[in-house]
Amino acid sequence: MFYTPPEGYIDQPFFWCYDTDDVSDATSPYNIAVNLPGGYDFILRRITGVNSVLNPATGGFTVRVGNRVRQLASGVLVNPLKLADWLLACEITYPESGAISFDLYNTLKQSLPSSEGAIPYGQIAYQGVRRRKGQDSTLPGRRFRRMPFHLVLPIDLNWSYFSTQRARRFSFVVDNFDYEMHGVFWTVDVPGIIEFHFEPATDLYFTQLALGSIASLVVVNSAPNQVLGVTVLGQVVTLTIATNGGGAETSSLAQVKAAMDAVPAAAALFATTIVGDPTLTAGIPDGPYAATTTYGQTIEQASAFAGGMAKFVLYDYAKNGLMPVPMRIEYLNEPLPYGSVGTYKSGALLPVLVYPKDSAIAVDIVSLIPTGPAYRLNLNVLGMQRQPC
Amino acid sequence: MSFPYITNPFAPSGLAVPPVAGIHEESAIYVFSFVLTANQIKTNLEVSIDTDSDFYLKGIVIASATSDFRFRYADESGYYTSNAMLDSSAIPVNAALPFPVTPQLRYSAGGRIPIDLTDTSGAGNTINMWFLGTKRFQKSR
Repeated sequence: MFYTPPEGYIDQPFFWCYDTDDVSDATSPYNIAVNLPGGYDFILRRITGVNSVLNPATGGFTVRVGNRVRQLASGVLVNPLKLADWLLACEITYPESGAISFDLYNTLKQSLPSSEGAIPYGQIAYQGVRRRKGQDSTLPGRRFRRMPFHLVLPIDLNWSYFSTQRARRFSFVVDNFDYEMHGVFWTVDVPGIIEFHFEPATDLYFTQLALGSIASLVVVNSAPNQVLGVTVLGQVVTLTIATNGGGAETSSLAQVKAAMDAVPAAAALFATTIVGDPTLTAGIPDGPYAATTTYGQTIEQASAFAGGMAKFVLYDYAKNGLMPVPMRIEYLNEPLPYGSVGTYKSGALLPVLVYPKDSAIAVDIVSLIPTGPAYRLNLNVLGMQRQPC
Repeated sequence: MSFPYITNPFAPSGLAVPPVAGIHEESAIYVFSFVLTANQIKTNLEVSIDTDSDFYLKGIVIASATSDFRFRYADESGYYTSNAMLDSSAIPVNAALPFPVTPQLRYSAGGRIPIDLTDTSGAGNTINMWFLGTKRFQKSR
């Protein structure tokens, strides 16, 4: 993606996003339009996320070029996974007040199932630039040299999609020097989970709630006539399971969860979750179990979310959003030039964003996780400092 | 009859920068190896630069590691290139696609690349990293 804006124009990286939350599955809506406001032309260079809204086997996609009549392709584009991240061979200009018009065939939206309901995250993003007349005001009037410099901006994702306030803002001040943002990628710190599986299809999870802690769980069930109870000493939770005179466990999973939740100190260390039959009296094995945070996972490594952890809006130094609606973090997430791993392939910003010294890098984060443990998203910014010389 | 070269679209873009008059450049890799214990934090580690030439750092590769870790490095004056340690999971393990260092950083002959490391795996970690770039020599007259 090489380009230079025409003389007398300035470009800003921009993402037009289309959420399919209101589109029913197994439908084929035609002539969907993302309407563009006046004031800017939009230059489209990359389409990503088509696979997140279509049936992977039977889905299809078409998009019209600029004038809303001519199709980009001679036929319907099938095999949606091939369209997950699509770098156009030639940029397409959509004039101001126009629309990006496209068709979907055989929809099937991606979503994350949870006990509170499905969390949808089907979304198509159109990446390019907004172009308007003007001059680049971010070049300083003095000489500078560029220094490679990267930022790690931590975001505690400790609220759920079902929270009243689903979107929250985080700001990070750019200190010392003007800063050029060239690209971003995301990593995740994942809390430790202690898991017990009971046949045929029931699981009991104890999920670490405080990232970085070394919370551990000691299960005691070996003596006869025990009473169900929970005690906490520091970071160690001791869970005593009720037993009968023969030493067999009599506590159901639901009772275990209730006992854990009833002790505030234990509930602060672990979230207890049952997936399956809560009436099961299955027998939790004796023993100490440790829950430790896994740091620095890529989005793909944090596979429990299958790609849906959060959406975001990134703002430039003047607080202009780069996307009019929150966009999935995976769509701008790769440390390399059209890179190496994952379904989505690029985290590069073209043109780069410049943040003057003492301005702020602001992001709005929309949680896409169910109620449960906290995660830490790390927004890794690749860029350069402009050091006066 | 000669034909002009064209850019090969199948070739990786690489890390090359235009040649400098009067300078001969040779590819060079400085290898850094270290063994961390569980959750260990080690600062002020270094890779020593040969005394025969300046080194221009252009890319980084994690050749091998037992598990995840975090790291950061600095220029030769000790100025760090990040505000915090970077997750190793985001750094390539493929020498054909190194993590680009741009603009390239110059390390003087006999100098050092300062490095900090933190284990985040909770277990021992044997780390091998490559610092890719070029050595620069004056062309003989």
